[in-house]
Amino acid sequence: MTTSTLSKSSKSRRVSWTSMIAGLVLGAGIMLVSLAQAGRIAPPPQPEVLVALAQTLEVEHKRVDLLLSQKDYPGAIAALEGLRKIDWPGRQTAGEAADQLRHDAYGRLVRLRLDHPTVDARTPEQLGELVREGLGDDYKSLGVNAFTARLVALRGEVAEKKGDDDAALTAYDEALTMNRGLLQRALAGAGQ
Amino acid sequence: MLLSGCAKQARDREFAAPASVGQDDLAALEQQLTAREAQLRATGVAVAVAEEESDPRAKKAVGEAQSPEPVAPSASPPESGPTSAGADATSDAGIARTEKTKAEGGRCSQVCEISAAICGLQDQICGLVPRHREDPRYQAACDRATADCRLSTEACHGCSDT
Repeated sequence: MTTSTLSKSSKSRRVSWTSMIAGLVLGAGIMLVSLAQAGRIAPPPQPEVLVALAQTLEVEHKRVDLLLSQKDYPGAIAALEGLRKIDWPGRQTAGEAADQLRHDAYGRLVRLRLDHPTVDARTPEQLGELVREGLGDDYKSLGVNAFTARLVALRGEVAEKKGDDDAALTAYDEALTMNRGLLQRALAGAGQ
Repeated sequence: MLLSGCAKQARDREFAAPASVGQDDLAALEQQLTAREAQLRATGVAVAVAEEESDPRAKKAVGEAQSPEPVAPSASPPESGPTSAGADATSDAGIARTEKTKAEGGRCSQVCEISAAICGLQDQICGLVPRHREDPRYQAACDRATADCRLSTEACHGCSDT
């Protein structure tokens, strides 16, 4: 199975995946704030920072959606590259959801770069650095979530591009474990 | 320490909402984002169905991962994004209908999306095996991924929100 055919079906899944879970995380971020207001869960220290971040990202993602609908891949990649320059609020300020939103944005950028390697070309090593930058140092301490799982899987694809199949296998296995957890949680929701 | 403190304040100010984010503001924002979430789900599922229809290989993935519940095809073209798909949902009645429909199919859509991701990982892991036939780790990982894909596909097919 070639990477290009994998990327095509992965791309279609990514479109629906991204749309759905971006909405879920945005909704979850606001729900988190509301529940915090109700005193039911520990709030992010500065919930307004999370809300503002989510709003900013929603606008940018919509812009990227529009650019992609116009097949403006360089523009879409440039827009997502712009998000690398912002000062992402940390978990201690905006909670875990901020890290998840970062993983989503970086995941979208890496996916686009892998699917359009000739646009503002980057070496596999540079893509690896991009993934590392997006994941951060302590992503493993995050609660299991779809954004992190996707970025970890993309780390595997980048490792394959570098010819490091061992690292690719490790990353894919890690992403699979995360998705297994997500599935168990989704199925457990049936009993509630 | 002073510089890092100033930097932190500057970073937080970058994303600071107006000084007082009141309960009403958050409630209104929550309503908007919940509606937005429903619109995105509607578009996302419709986009997945429309795009996968054109890819013969993806049809196999769709067949393996598709929810048993029928998904109403969107009148919007796949790449139009949420804007046109959201046009019908901007009225209160439209939003209520969309939210009800999507709440019913939301969990199963989630299960099937995760199943699709798992089966995609199966493809990627098993794609490594031919290059490493002498290393049992690769085949073992492929076997695990295949089992996960099969189980998750069964979960998707058998999913019911009732």
